[in-house]
Amino acid sequence: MRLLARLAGYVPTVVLARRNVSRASARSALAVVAVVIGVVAVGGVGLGGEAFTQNQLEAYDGFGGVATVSQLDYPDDGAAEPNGELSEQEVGRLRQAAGSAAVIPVVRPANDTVRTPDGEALFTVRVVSMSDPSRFYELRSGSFPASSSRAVVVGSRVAENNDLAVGDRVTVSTDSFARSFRVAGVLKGQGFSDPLSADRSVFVPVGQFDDPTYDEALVQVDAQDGSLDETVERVETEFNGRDRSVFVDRVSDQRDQRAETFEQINLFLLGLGAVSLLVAAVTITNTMLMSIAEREGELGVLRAVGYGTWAVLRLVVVEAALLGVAGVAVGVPLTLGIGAAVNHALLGDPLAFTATGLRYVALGAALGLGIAVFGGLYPAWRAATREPVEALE
Amino acid sequence: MATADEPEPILRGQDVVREYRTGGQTVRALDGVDFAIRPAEFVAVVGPSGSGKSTLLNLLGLLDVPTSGRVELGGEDVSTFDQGRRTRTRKRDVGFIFQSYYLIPTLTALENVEVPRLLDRTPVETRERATELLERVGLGDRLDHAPDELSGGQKQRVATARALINDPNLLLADEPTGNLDRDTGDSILDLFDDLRTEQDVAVVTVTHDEYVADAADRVVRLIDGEVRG
Amino acid sequence: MSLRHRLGGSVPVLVAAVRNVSRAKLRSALAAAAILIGVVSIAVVGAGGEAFKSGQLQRVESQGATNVYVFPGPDREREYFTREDLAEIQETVGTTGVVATTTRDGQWHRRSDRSEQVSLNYVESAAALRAITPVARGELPSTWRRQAVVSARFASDHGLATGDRLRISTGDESVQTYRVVAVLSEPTGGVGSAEVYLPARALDDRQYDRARVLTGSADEAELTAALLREEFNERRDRLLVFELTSLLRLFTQVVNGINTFLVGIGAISLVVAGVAIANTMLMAVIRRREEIGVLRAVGYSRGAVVRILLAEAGLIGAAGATAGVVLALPAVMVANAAFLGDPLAFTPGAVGYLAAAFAFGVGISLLAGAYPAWRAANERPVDALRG
Repeated sequence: MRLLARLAGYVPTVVLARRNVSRASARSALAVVAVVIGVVAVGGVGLGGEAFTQNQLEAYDGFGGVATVSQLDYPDDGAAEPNGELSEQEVGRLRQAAGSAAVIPVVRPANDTVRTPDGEALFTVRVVSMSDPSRFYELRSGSFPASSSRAVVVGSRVAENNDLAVGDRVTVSTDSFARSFRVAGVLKGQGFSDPLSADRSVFVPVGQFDDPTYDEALVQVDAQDGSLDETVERVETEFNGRDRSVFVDRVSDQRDQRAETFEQINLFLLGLGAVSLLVAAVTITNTMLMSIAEREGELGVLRAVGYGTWAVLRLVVVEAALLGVAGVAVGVPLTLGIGAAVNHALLGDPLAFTATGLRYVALGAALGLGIAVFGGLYPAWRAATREPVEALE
Repeated sequence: MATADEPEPILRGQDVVREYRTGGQTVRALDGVDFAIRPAEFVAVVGPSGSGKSTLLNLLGLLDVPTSGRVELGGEDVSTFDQGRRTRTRKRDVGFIFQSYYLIPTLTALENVEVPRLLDRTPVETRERATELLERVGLGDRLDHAPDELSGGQKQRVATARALINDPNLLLADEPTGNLDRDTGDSILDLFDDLRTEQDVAVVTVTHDEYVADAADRVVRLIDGEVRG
Repeated sequence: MSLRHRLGGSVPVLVAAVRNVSRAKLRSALAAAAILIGVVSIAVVGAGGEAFKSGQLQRVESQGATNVYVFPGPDREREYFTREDLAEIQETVGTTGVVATTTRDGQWHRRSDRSEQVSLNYVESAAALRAITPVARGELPSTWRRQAVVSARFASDHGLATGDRLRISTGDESVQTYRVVAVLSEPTGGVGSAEVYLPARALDDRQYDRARVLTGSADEAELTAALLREEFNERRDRLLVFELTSLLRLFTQVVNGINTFLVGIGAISLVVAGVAIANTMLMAVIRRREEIGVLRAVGYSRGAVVRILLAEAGLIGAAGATAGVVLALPAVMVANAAFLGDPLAFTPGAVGYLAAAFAFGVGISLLAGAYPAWRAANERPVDALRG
């Protein structure tokens, strides 16, 4: 007796079930297709959503250990004249409080307008100015201009929507100046989650402002030098002692919030995709009902020769489970293939699967198998409780 | 029916009544039948269709319980058995040969014989026993054939081998020669004789075939649910 | 001959289909249930999304989608409108109302030692203010001089009521005292909302930083905006003209896109349901092989057999789809109530999705039934009858 056959002898139910499944191949194949679609729907939505999430969250990559500090619109004491700006003196206090952490003040000038060479005003484009944007962003083309030079770096959307490239000129007007600038560089796309909305911004060198007023400041802590939490604590103590005067927000918190939102959206989509698995369960039930109706006599014989209710139940459930296993076996590689394609498109790396994404695939597989067993329960119960005398008539 | 020097019956029935309800009216398939099946006995049940032969066979095989009356197995009333115990008893003591064989089309001849013991997880022993049985019924060269590759007589013999795999005390056969030519029928009857003499297996068969009835030790005639003559 | 019999005789294919479908009740019911689930998922997602979209659109429209907002353009020499400029705009738009306003940041002197920044909006007249914002409490004066109107939010934040006095200054000007005569009703969101509304005559310079053209509908607003752009911005950008219509269109486009995506995911389940129907029909034609052979033998054409079987598939699909739409209706009504305030406010888009879900359910059933029907019809009667 061959080893394989011997081993098979120890799982007789599976052997019987497998042969029965392959008996009605068209019917079984269709049931398997139903499971495959369901598994792919759940896994694919999960992987796709994860890839999208990762794609969006990449914008936060450069912002490790960064917190934003902005003036509260209305400080509690009401005595100070709030103007939504950080004064030089406040920036100084911030630097002191931040210690070894870098403080990068950001200028968002009022009445900012950017125009293309042919005079078209770009109303959705914002002007931003900060020292050393290369800390946070990478360039797609060109280079970062020196602080004093008459050149700007533009966001990816600004460049794409208006056909701007390195070497073109744009006119930037603000409260304090209206000048023509050379486009020195174009940033890589950041996605809509970027804390500074870089995609829709034009970065003007700080040196262009004679008397810059700062609207917010970024505090960046090098992980080796200290902890962001401690720095934030010190800033809070300095500014928000008796009255709250600034708002400190860790970029990682913003990122986590975003991630959570994406996760929830993904779960909703998964739920919608899972409806198809529900339908697959109905299909399995139907298939198994047909199968037991066809084999009524055979099942009756099994009961007559001493198979208990439980044994027959198990036999039919295992058949249904095999349909599920086949569905999962086809569905999972298919899902991974789709996931790889989406990863390639959104993240540039086909194998950029995340643990969460793979968990969704596992969830799809588990659900596929689960619904197959679930779908088989009623037919199995019906077959098992059928009186052998009636089945054999 | 029983005399003192005869061995204890395997199965005994007293005033067995079996009623069915069909379409709002009650049909009495068996109407107060007494029976006793002793080891190594060959009993033929004959009678016109609808006389209750199949019902009797179901009761003998513990597939069914009487509406009233008593069916005893080893002195115990089988109606007190629960489903599980009846199933286990059936497996241990009874072998069935169905009129239309009911072989499982996806399994080979050998595997079909193994079916009753398939769940026992003793594949090696089961395989040996099944091979031995098929050789005994003359199908040693057909082990790996599927049912649709076998003739009627061969299927009948596979079904018989299947009935014997658990060494039953009682073999129940529904029209064992019904679809067979005389020679094949003879070989089946010879097999029954061997089983009776070698292993004290009692054989009960339902048949229309007078040839089978002639070969039996005892003939029970059923008419309208009652034993006549 | 009974009426029923006669009616049935005129649609023999349907009668045969009904009879055959009800022969395998459980199997047909399960296949219909599969379609039902798919139809419910499409209908609820689609129609619910439509209700959401309409609700949002209504809100945006109530917040000024019928208005055209006009600002001084970058190519003007002055960064404000004078009365002459406004007259020119009025001339262009004809009889449509034009409301010019000026927004300023001011200081509210709550006590002698303490002031707060407030956003001010100077409006030409009480009638103009009434035209752009509804009043909740109080009375607008017919001649507006030293009275102030405050937003509901501002009133509740600072515990202000009509009759209270506000001491307000702007820029370098001296402090003026205004009496609160009215509170606006929420919401006063949208473009150009402010905390305190003051009469334009309180401005020394009568310079307006924006104007609002009040039209009757979003479409009219779009036309008016086009008219203004044509008149003022032919060569140079003398005006910045905004209307929410283009924004609305963008919003609609985005929501439609998302909705289509969601419905697409929901539709996957309907594809699976199609598989279930194909399975059921395959089973039916295998079981009825001889029967179909007899039909062919007694002179039914292949087309007739296909029609009978397709009618069966269609019937199962129609039953499932009907039940699905019926089940989806309460869910859609809940969405209507939530987003539009009226359970029966079915938008054309929502009805469209319900209809599409039904049609898709039946359509996919017919498609799924096609192969089994074709297979049954193409078997030679001789083979079918030989078994």
